[in-house]
Amino acid sequence: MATTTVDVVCPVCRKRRRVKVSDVQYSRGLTKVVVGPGSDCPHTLLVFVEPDLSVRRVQNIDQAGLTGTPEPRGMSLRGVVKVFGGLFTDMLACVLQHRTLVLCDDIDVSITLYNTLSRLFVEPVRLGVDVLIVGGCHEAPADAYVVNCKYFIRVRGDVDRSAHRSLDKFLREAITVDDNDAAVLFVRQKISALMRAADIFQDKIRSRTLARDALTLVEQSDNIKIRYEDIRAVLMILRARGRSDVAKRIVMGRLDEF
Amino acid sequence: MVDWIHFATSVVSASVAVIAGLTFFVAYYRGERPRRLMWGLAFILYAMGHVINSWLVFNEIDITSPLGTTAMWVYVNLGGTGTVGLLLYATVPFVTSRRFARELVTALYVVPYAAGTTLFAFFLPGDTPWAFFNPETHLPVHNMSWWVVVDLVPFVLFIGLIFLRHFWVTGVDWALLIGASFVLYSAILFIWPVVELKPLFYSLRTISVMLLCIGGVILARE
Repeated sequence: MATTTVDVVCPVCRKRRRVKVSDVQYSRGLTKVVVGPGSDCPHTLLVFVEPDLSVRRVQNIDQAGLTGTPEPRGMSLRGVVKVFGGLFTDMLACVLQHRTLVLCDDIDVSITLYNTLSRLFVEPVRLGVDVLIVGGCHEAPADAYVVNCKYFIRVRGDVDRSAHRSLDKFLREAITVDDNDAAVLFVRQKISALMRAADIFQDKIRSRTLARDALTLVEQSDNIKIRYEDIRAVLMILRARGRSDVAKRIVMGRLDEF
Repeated sequence: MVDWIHFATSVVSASVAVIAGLTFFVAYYRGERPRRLMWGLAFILYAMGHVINSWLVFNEIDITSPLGTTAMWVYVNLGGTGTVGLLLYATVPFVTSRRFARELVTALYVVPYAAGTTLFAFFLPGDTPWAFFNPETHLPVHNMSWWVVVDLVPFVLFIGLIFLRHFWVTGVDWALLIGASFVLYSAILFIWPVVELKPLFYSLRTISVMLLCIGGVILARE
């Protein structure tokens, strides 16, 4: 993976900083890179880089104290689901769709939420890239899904809701368990199974395939059992990966909304 | 003497239809999809029809008498116009999204059904040539019963095939059970007008409604 270096100026001390951006990151559009304190500049910066490698904005995030992964703080999955309800499902879908999720207005709650959210995915949910934590909601990029963590409301942005039925069900089942770690692992296992199914569809489905045959393929390939109701979530992941062509090859039933 | 076998099978069939209706009410409560509510209502209407039949049998009312024919007319219209009409109205949108398709298909079934049963039961004479499909004694109530079979079978089969196709595509069990229930119903409808075979019909119908019940339970649990 090639990287490119971009120069930025710290908005606080005016020192020049060098930022490394991978080609994978900036090819996806506007990207965000967190730069920790350096030897000359003691500030933590959030840098927004355009696809043409021009710097759109440099933001000081010292007040949030956010570099790397913050220390876990104590809210259980059950607690987060209780507090945020359907909004938390939106956030899961947002991460699955590689949309930028912005948590704003209450740094403490945002950190707690981020910690819980990031544990539900096998692949890292990168702070400053996949999830942004900002003080003011107005600072969020235009294309982001923005959640006000002070009032527990969606500020703006929308997500594809086709995985919601599966995600809601996973969360509902998980929070019936008293052990928080078990609940988190349960959801993580379910989500990783969806991701793996998407990998298999992507690799092996070349022509129109009935949904049940696609599910059998997943079971035969990796011994992963996906239920028919969850296949829409897998298709959503494929679309988020830019593989709508594969998603369209799966023949779905007409009575799904029955 | 009361035909107890006919009476018992009819009562059991009505009871199972009530349970089927309730499973769809539960499925509606869990998923809040109005079509499930329509299915629930449809099977309650169906059960009401079977209760009327049980009442006729228990009271040994001759179905060729004015009271018996009228009660039979109410029975077949609750279970035919009401039940299958509602089912078609609720199910056709899954087959096509064309405007007015569900109204058109439902009307194609309901209008001939309601008009035919009314005409054969009350207005046309028993030996009317219009009842050429009736292989039994040419009495108005028998003409009506055979018209029910003629109109009902293709539409019931149509509903069954929609669900069986869904099973074929997706592999979900509830679609197989509901589809099989309707296909079985369409197959046994031919024996319904034959008086001697009524207990057999109601026994087989109980099995088919039980398949529907189990399908509804699985659907509600998803």
